[in-house]
Amino acid sequence: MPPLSCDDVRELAAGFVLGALENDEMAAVRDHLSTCSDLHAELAELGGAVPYLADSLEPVEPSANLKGRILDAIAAEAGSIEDARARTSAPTALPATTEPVRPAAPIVSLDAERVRRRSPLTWLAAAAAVLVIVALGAWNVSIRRDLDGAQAYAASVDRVLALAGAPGGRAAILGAAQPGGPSGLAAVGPDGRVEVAVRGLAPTSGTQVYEAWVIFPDRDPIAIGSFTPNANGFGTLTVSGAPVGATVTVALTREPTAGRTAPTPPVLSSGVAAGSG
Amino acid sequence: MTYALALRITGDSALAEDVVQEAFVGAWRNAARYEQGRGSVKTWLLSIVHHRAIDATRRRRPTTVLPEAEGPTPAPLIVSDVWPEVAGRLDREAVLAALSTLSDVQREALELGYFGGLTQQEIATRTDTPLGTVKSRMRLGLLALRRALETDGPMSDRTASA
Repeated sequence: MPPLSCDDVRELAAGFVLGALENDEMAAVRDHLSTCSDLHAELAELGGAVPYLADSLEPVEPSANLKGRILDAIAAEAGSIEDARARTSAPTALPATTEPVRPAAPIVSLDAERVRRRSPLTWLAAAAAVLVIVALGAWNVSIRRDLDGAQAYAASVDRVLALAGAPGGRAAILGAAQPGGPSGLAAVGPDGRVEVAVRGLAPTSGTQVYEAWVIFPDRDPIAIGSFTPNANGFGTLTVSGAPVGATVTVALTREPTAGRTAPTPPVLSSGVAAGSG
Repeated sequence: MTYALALRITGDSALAEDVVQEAFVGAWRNAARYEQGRGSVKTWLLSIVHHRAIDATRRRRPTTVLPEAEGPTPAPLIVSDVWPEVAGRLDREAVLAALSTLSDVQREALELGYFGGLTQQEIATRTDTPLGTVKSRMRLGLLALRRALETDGPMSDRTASA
C-alpha cells in the first residue's frame, strides 16, 4: 500500500485507535507516524477513550491457575535471562504457544566485565517484572477496596527497584511455589540491605509471621527478618546487615513465631538474586 | 479486566486465557517498549491483549487476510497517569452511562470494531452501510464517548490528556 499523507492518517485515525483497519492499513499508519513530524493529536484525542471500552465489560475472572501459569512462565524467562550459572532450579518449560526463549546473556570471561554488563539487565528484568506484577494487581476485580494497601505495596516496590538499580544491587523475582501463592520482588544491596515486597499473602494468626530467608549455595538458610501482611495480603520488609554473597536465593516461609533459626517447610515463594560477589 | 476483554473478543475461554498469558509474558519480555508517561500499565496491557485477541480471532476467520505473524504490538497512544488507573476507579457504571450517550449506530460501530475485531470495511459490508458512514460513526462515537467520560466519569478528575 502506498505511503499515506497526513490527511489519510487523519481519516483512518478512528479505525486505527480501535484496531479496526486492515493489517496493511494499520502498518501504513504506523509507518507514517514513525517518520511524520506532525504529532497527530487526533490519535490521542480519539484513542483516549478506547481503554475504557474494556471497562464496560462485565468483570469475569479467568480460571484460578492462570495467574500462576503466567508468573511461572515469566519466572522461567527470568531464569534464562539471569546468569545461567546462577540457576539453582530448572525453569519450567514455556508453553508451546509462546515465542522461543531469548538466549541467555553472553558469557564474558572477565568477572568485572560480566558484573558491569549484568546490572542493567537485572534492573530491566526487575522493572519488567514489576510492570507485570503491578498489572496483575489490576486483575482482581475487587482491587478498588484494596487501594490503600496497594499503594503501600507500590511504595515498597519502588524501594525494591531503587535498591536493585543501585550500583551492585541485584533483584530477585519471588515466584510462588504453588499457584495462587504469594509472589513479589526482592532486591539485595551490596551493603547487606534487602528490600522485599510480596503480595498474595494469606492472613496470619496469633504469633505467626512470614519470615524472609537468604540461602547461599550449600549453606543453611539464614533468617533476615519477619513481617505480617496487611489486610490486603501485601507484605513488605526492609532489612539492613544481611549477609552478602555472589549468588543468593531469597525465600519466604510462614513461621509459627518470629525468631526461628530454621525455616518451616514449605517455601512459599523464592527467587535467585544473581550477582557478582 | 484483561481476561474479560480477551473473552469478549474471542468468545472462547481457553483461547482467551492463552491470549492473556501470551500478552503478559510478551509484556514482560518487551517491557523496554513500555514508555512510562505515555500510558498506564493497564492501558498498555489492554492494548496488547486487544491486539493479540483480535489477531487470534482473525486467524480463525478464513475470509480475512492473515495478519503478519507476531506483528509489532502498537504503541500505546494514550496519555494518562499510571497508578490510579491500575488501582481503581474502574467504574463500569460510569463507562456504561457514557456509552449510552452515543447513538445506537455509533455504539454498534465501536463494538463491532473494538470487540468484534471487524475492520471498517467488514462493518460496512455487514451492516450494509457506506464505508464513509462507518468511519464517521466511529470517529463521532469515540469523541462522544470521550466527552461523556470527561464530563461525568473516570476521566473527569484528570486534566485533559490529549
